[in-house]
Amino acid sequence: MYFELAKRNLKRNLLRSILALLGIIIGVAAISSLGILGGGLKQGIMENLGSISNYIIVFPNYQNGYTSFDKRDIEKLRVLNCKVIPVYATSDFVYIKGKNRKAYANIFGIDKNDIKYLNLKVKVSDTSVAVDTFFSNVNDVNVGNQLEIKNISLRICGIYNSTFLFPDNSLILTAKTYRRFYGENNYNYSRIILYVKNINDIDKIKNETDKILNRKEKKCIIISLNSILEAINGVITKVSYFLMGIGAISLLVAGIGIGNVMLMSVVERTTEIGVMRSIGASKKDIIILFLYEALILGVIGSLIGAFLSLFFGYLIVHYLLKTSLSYYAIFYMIIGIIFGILTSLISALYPAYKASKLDPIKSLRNE
Amino acid sequence: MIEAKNVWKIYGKGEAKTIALKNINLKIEEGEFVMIMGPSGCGKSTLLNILALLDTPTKGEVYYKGRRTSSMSENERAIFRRKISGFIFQQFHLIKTLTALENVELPMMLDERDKSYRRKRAKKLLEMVGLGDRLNHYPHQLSGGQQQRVAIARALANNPKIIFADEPTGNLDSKSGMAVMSILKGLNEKGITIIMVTHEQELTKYASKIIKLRDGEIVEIINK
Repeated sequence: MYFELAKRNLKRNLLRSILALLGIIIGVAAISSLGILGGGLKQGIMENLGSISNYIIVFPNYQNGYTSFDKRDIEKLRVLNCKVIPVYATSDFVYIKGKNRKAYANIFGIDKNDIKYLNLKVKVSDTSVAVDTFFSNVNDVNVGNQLEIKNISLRICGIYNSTFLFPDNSLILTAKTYRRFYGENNYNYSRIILYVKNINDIDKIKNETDKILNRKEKKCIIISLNSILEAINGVITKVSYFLMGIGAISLLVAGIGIGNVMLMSVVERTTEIGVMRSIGASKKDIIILFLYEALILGVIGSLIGAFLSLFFGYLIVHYLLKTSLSYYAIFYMIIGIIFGILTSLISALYPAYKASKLDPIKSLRNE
Repeated sequence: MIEAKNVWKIYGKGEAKTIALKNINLKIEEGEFVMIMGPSGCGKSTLLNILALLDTPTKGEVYYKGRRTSSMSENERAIFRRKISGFIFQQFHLIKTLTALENVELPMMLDERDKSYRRKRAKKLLEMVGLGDRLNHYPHQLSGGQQQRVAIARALANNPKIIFADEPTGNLDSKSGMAVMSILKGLNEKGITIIMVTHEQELTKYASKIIKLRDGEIVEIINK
């Protein structure tokens, strides 16, 4: 019956209740939508970069005068519990057949059997080349087009997404083809990629690599892409919470609105409160009654707001971030609902307390 | 059953000080029909509110069955108002948003009775006061006399031992007033103690004890 009483009291001033409800709806929708936006950003990054978290990249330490790795370095690393992928690298002009123009690109050479570990979804032979999306878009080339390096024609066999493993505007050749162009006896590698099957072993292998290659002096710099990803995720999480904080301001305003509605309600219902006290309602009963009213506003407003945020979230994530909504949307909806209900209840605490403190005798004389 | 010893009620301080009740001493036994009478502003309602534990005396003590009510917690006072006593007002004071049936259910709801019991008892009480055909009417759809009868049914909801009535006929025409008085008399005959405030001399025939007040003091107690 508390619920019934509360429901009827809200219906009594329907417009006022709807306006208070609207505040909660907007506040919850803002919090949840902005949370979903953050979650979408995170998911988008994970979709694009998630595949690189199993890799460690080893660069020569240029500051100490090291510019490449040799075969011995590679052999030393073979003891590690991971796939060692030595990479040749250079920059050169490439002639684009059919377009009659040259393009400058980063050219990488990787052993034919190692390419599959790089998750690039391309298969490169000794007579072909893979290009990244950046090179493909800028130079308007596609699979099947021909490129010429050192006057030798190579067919584009695939296009891969740019990742941290390879910078934008890059091409991948097999190690054999690379050596054909840039020195048959060239076994000086510009970087080493370590593919670690179990992500939990990343730190261990990173430390072991450091012990092997940097034993005497700092010969190389070791970067685990996992830590970069974690850093990016950390920043996005903070941005998400900041955005949700901005959304929470509108919820705070809604809370003030509910507090105001409840205080007006206390004034209007002074006699009614006096009657209830005189027929045996305790102070606790009066508090519960007012909190029920706030709870009804909070629950209805939060649910509507949360489902609105799902709609807005879908628009943002699908059309703006070009990714899909996932379980995180539910998480942010729940956070929005919890905040909405708590805001409503907290806002009603003072009015409820004030109502419970009314003197029944004075209240009854109020009419 | 109820005893007031040296009860004073003073409002305000200094020059604004008003003495509403002066040194009230009275004893009300179980099953009595007590009428508190006197001119307007003599402290009748104040005394009733103190006896009903809606208000507290400035000085003195009120005892219920030998227990000092000043030692009762706020919660115990609420339980007294809910279970032991029922209150009837001159202005009826029904909750506007509730039907007659729901108004009668309200004290039982506060007493955490289950819904089926509440419904059954509320119907029975409204039938008893002659409103069996008005269960789902809201207060604004009822006449003054009907509203007061709903208020009586509400006061009876939790089987009280005492009913406090503050000028229950004050806002009613004589016919409705008589109907209300006959209900109260019937309840008194069933053993319920009635303590009623009135200034209508013709109602004294219903009383077993009359307490006359003037300027906050008891001037006469008549036992019939």
